[in-house]
Amino acid sequence: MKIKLLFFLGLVLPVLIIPAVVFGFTDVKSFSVNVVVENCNSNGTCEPLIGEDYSVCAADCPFGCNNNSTCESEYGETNINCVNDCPVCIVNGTCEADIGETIINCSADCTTPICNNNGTCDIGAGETVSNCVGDCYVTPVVPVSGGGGVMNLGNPPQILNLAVRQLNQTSIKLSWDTDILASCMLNWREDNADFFTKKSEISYSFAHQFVINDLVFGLDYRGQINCFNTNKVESQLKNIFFRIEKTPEIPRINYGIKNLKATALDSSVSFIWYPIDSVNYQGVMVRRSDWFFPSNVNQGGILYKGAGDKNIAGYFFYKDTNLKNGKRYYYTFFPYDIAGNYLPGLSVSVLPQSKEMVKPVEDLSIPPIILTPEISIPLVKAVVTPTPKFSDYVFFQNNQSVPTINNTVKVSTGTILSVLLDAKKVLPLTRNILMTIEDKGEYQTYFLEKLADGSYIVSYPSQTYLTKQRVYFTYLNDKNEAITRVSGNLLTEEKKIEAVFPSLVSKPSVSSLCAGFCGLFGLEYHFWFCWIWLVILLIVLLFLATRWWNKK
Amino acid sequence: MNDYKIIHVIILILFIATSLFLVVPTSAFVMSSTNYRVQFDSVNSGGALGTSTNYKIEDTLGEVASGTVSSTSYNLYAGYQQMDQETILSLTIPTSITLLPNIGGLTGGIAYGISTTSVLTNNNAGYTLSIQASTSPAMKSINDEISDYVTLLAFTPDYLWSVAPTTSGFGFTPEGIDIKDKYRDVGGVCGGDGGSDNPNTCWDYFTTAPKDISTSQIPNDPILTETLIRLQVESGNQNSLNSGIYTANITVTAVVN
Repeated sequence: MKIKLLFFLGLVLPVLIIPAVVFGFTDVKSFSVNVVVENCNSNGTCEPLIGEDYSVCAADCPFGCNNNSTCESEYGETNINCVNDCPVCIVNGTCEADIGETIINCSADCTTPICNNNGTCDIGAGETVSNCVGDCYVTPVVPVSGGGGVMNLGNPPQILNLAVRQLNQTSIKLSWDTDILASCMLNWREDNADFFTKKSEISYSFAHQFVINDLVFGLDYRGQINCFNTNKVESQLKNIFFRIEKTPEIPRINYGIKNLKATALDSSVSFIWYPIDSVNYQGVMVRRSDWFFPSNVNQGGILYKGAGDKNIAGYFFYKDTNLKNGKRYYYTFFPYDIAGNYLPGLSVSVLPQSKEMVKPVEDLSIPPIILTPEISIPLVKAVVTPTPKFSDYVFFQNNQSVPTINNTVKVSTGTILSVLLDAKKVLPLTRNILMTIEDKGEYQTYFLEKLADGSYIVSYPSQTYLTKQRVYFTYLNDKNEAITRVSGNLLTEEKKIEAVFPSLVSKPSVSSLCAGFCGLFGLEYHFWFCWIWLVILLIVLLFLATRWWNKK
Repeated sequence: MNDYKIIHVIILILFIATSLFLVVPTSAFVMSSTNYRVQFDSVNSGGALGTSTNYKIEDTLGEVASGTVSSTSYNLYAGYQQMDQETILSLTIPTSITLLPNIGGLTGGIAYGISTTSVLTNNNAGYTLSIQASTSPAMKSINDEISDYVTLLAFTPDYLWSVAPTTSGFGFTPEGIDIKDKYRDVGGVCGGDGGSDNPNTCWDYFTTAPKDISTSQIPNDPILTETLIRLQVESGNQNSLNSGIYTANITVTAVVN
C-alpha cells in the first residue's frame, strides 16, 4: 500500500499538477538579437577603403597575382608571389632574401656576391655555373653510353591549387599556383577531338590563370598544363577534365520593395516598406479597392504614385486617411524602377478601427470566425481539374531547387527565394495567382508574375529569422474570384547565426521544460503539442510500471 | 540493489522533480486605489472566508442571477464565485532575430529587425509586458561591443532615431495597441498621454532592469495582442567596430496585473 501510494505521488501527481502550473501568472521568455558586422560586402570588388583585403574578404579580394602592374597587397600580392606587380627591391640598406631581393634585382641593398656557396644552385638569385661553380657545377656523370655531363637546372615547378570555375554558359576559368616562378602553358580539346588548342604565358609568376571561351554546353573537355621554370625544366599535369554545366534560369527577382507592413489606425492606415534595390527604386503605385485585391496596374483606384516619404531608418512610409472604421480595404503596391517598369505587386488588406474597440471588427462577410484577410477570399463553387498541389510549385534558392517534402520546403534565412509554377501545371481558368505568406499572424502577399511561356513566378527575400511560415497559393479567375487554394509550409532555417539560449529565469520555466522535451525527441516546439505528448508519455510510463508491479 | 529499491529511487526522483514545479501562484488584485486594484467583489446577503489547518473555503449567499452565460462573442460571468476562474497567461516570442543588413565595421550602417511578441490572458485586470537585456551594454561580440542607444533626454524616448557618426547605438521601440504612453507620440514628442503610435518613433535603450513597454487593463482572451518590438543597430560612419557576430540576449516578461 505504501509503495502504491508512492506510485501515485510520483507518477499520477505530475500528470495532474504540471498542467496546472502551466497557467502561472508570469511568463518569462528570452530571445537573442544578432547583427553581423563585417569588413567585406561580397560585391565582387576589392575595396581597401572600407577595410577589405584578402585576409578579411577573400570573396572580393581573392588571393593571387593578377599581373596588372600594380602591387595590390589587399589581394595578397607580394614581391614573392607577384614579382611583375610588386617590386622586389625595397631599398632600405638590407638585402632581404626572404622577400626575393638578390644582387641582380636589388644591387643597392644586396652587395654580397651572387654566389652564396650554399650547395644549391639558386638560379633565381643569379647563380649560374659560370659565376657559382661551387653551387651550380655538378660533377659530370658519365652515362653508360658515354659522353655529356649533368647540370642542376633547378626543380620543376610544382602545380598547386588547381581550380576550375564556370564563368557563364560558354566560358570557364582555370587557375593554379606554382611553388616557384614558372611560365605555364594550357592545352585543351574536346575529349574526343584530335587536336589541342593552346594558350601560353609570356612571363614567369607564381599564380597562373587562363580563361577559355566558346565552350559548348554538355561536352566534355580534357586539358593539360605544362609549366617551366626559368631554365625550362618542365612539369606537367594531364587529364584535367571539365565541362559546361547548364545553370538554371535565374528567375526575375522582385527587387522592388520588401517588408510591406500596414498598420490599422483610427480611420486611417499607415504603410511602411523598404526598397530592396535602392539604386533602381523609383517609387510605388498604390492601387486600392474595398472589395478585391488589385492584381495588376490597371485594377482598383490609383491611391498614390511616388517614392513615399523616407524616414531616418531607411524605410518609406505613406498614410491613407479618411477611411471608414470597420471596413476592410485592399491595397496592392506595384513598385517601378527608373525605366518605368512595374514589378509584381505586394498586397495587404487592412481593417481600420478605433482604439475604443475592444476587439477587431469582424468581417461581416465571413461570420462567425475571424479569418485572415488574404486567405479569406471565399472560394467560388467551381469544379477544379486537375487538382493542384503545393508540390507543383518549385522553390529555388541560390539558383538551386529546394525539394518539397511532405508539403514543406526548408530554406535559409536572408536569401532570395524564387517560386515557379510551370506552365503545364497552371489551371485552365487561372488568370492570376496570389501567394500569401503567413508568419505568426503577419501576412505578406505577392502576385506571381506570368511569363511569356505561361509559367508563373515570383522572387522575394526570405525571412531573416528562424521561423515556420504557412504559404498559400490562391488561384484567381478573370473576375478575381478564388477558384481554389493550396497551401504548404516554409521552414526558414538559420544559416549562420548561432542561437543563444541563456538561462534567464530564476524559477523553472515550464515552457523551457516542454521545449527541452521536444528537443529531446527532435520535435518542433509547440506548447500544447508538447504537453499532450508529455502527458501521454507519463501515462504510458504509469501503465507499464503498474503492469510490471502487478506481475511482481 | 534489488528491484524494490530501484522502484523506490525512481519514485523518489519523480516526486522531488514534481515538487520543483509546485509554484505558489499569487492572487489577482481585488481592490483599487493608488496602489491597489479590486479585481472582483460581491454585494450579497451572506458568505465568509473560512479556514482550517488544511483547507480554505470562500462562500457567498444570496446573490441574484449568478451563473455563466456564453455567446459566440462573449462570456458572461455573473456573481462573485464565477469570477474566481483560472487565470491564463501566455507569452509568445521568436527565439532569435537577425538584424539586417550587415553593418560595415569601418563604414558603419543601420541594421533593423522586428520581434513580434504575443500575449494572451483572461485575467480581468489585463497584463503588463516588460523587456530587459542580460548585459550592459546589451549587444556584444567576442571582442567588441555596440553601445546602448542614448536618448537626448533621460528616461524619455527619442521621437526620431539618432546616433552620432562617431559612435554606435542599439535600441528599440515598441508598437501595438497596448504600448505604454511613454512610447506614444504627440506632435513629434514622445510620452504623450493617449498619443499616436507612429511607426519607427520613440526609440529607447535597453537596460538590465525591466522596462514596461505595454500594458492592458482588460483581458484579451481569445485574441492574442501583439506588440512589435522594433530593434535597430547603427554604427556611425566615423565609428569602428570589429567584424563578427554581435548578440544581445533580451528577456520579455509578461505578468498579470
